[in-house]
Amino acid sequence: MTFYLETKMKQEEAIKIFTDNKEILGCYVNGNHRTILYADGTKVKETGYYINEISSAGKRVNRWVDVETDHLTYEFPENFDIKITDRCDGGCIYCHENSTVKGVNGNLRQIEPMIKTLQPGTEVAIGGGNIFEHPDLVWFLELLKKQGVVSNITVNQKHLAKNKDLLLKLVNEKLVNGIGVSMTDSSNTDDMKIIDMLGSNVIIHVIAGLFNEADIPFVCNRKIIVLGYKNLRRGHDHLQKEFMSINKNIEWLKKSLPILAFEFNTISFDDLGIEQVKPQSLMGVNDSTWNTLYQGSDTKVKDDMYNITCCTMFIDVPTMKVCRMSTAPLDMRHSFDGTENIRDLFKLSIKGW
Amino acid sequence: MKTIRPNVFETNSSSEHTICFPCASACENLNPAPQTLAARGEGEYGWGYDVLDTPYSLLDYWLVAIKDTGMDYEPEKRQAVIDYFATKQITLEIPESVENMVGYIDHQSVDSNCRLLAGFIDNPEALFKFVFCPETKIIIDNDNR
Repeated sequence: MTFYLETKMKQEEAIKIFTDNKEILGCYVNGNHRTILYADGTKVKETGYYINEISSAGKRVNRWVDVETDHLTYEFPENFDIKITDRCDGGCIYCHENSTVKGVNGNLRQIEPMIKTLQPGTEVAIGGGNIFEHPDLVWFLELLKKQGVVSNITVNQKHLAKNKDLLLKLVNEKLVNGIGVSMTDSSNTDDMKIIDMLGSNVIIHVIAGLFNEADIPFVCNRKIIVLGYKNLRRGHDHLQKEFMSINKNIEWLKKSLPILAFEFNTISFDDLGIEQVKPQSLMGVNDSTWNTLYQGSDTKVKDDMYNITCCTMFIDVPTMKVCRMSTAPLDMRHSFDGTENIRDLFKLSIKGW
Repeated sequence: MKTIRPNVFETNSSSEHTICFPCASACENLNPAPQTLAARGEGEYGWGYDVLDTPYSLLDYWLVAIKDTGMDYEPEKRQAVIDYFATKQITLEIPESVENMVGYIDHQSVDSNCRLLAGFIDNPEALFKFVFCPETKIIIDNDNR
């Protein structure tokens, strides 16, 4: 006997369900499409262009015209990940950033000119290290908000309790929107209460190979993202020691995914998570639904016409480097000085790919 | 071409939410007609081929999963499930104890997934989604087909 589940959705119905009567945070044209970002994080991208025409009321208006294409192109990143510090006292044995208490903070003031070139409505995912170690964190968030940028942060669960008041303040003042919480101790019920206080835009980050059955009560009825296990730095050392158990947990996740899916509000995967867990077939997702939900590859960077086809990038402020993603090889990381336009940095990030 | 990333902001510090499945969010819009849903855990889920895609059949399979995995079916938990469904205008009629269930699941299928499913007794919201999401189904099949 085999156990399957099927997941399929009709594109127009899905977009209607997730966007009707929701506040729009940002709307902009990027490459061959427009992007609309909603207050709950829902993001819709549709290919086409605006034409300026005279309406029946005699006024000039912009009208959106849909154009059918098979891929999206980008002139600037619609979101990017930015590491602001290498400092962290968490000491996670699988940390692929090698963050330590001696890590350095990036000079955020130096990149202010670059921040001022960002398209309002774009997203940044701010991470570290422990972002609360950075003395300019609030200043930086205020700068981004002033620019119209939608700021999201990633916080290690170990730092939740200590920074609860600041987190609540950041949420209340809308200085942050999405909050990723990297799960480290699923038995901590006090942290569950803090997470509940932070609102509905919290998403729990779990790592394939570490996430297991005992963690389910912590994540049930919440949003989660499954990150692929990064075989890098301390993550590499930990994999050498715990290969069997990491592999076993990934196999458990693969097998359980069709049932687990009901436990969550949403379940996301990053590129590496997709590679390691292969959720499409496990969740019985048909190609049409997959194509509607899939946000694009980090590493397929250009089409036949040399248009950029990826939508994100990674900025490491402590080392002042830009690259495709945090796992990019050292020789594919490029220096910048903070005065560049984001479009130029975006082009730099695909160099060599 | 249109794409959608439902209900999440970009928080990933190393890459993006490359894909996001709206497991429950879509189901928030599940509004099954008020009804009485009764199941007794009496289905015989052998080798198949069989497709379970009705609220009754999915609920019955869940009950049998509880029985065959030995999951706790305590009165308080059972009542919590009934109460949750009642908030959705569904009157749930399910056995008071596992002794009243006579169905079975082929022993080779009583595995970790079956235990996870039975564990929905602790998460009535997950059970509601499992039972009423119209586009989810269990296909019972075997290697000999």
